[in-house]
Amino acid sequence: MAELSHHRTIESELLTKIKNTTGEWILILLTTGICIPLIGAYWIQFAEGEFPCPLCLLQRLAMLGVAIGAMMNLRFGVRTSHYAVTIFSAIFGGAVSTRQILLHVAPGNPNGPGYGSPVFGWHLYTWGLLIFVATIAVVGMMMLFEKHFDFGSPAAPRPMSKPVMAVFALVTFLAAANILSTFLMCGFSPCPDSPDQYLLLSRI
Amino acid sequence: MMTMLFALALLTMLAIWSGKRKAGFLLSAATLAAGIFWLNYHITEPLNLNF
Repeated sequence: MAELSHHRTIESELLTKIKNTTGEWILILLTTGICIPLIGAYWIQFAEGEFPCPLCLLQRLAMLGVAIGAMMNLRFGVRTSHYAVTIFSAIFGGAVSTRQILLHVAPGNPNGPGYGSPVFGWHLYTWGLLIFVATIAVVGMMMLFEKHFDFGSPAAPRPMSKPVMAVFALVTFLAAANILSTFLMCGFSPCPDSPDQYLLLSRI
Repeated sequence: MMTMLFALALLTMLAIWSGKRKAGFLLSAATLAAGIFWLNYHITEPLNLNF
């Protein structure tokens, strides 16, 4: 028991000694930053009682995809292929956001003035487009600084510092929470276009 | 089955966490492909300015 405790202390000390580089800190910030709209969307879903539409769910998925690319950089070292995952996800999310903006943008639209309540004057899908474009811009900026790329070493898993572990846990928790809430809302069938209840809960 | 999309994303994260890079790439590609499929599935209304 005492030996196990001793090992844990050594492990904890080693984790504390792992220092993140500036590039890694920016990636941690990017990953944490992309979690903020996901947490906000959850707040609107559960605290304000607004249900996410299928396009909203796809935008959440794209945000998780952006985080996945950043997580690959933090776990295996910075590579252009990892940034590609982030860029493809951001392009996908941007396409979904643009589609939803176009559905609601015209005055007198029978689909209504917009889906859900605006936040600081904009609907969530408009914020979504801004976030996806900003993500591509940030990744472009990061790619300008070649010093933080790990071209010399093989892309093997590297030890994770405590901040990296914390951000990994946050993103993984958000993905798991979305599985649960989407399953409660849609069950095994495709999600309704304008959901107004948790289908599985309503059947109980 | 949009739940499956988030399940794929979670699997991707677990693969990355456990150090499986190739699995991470494959699963993230599968997630994106499934996302594009569901986007196509849900695009049913034509965009129209003449109401």
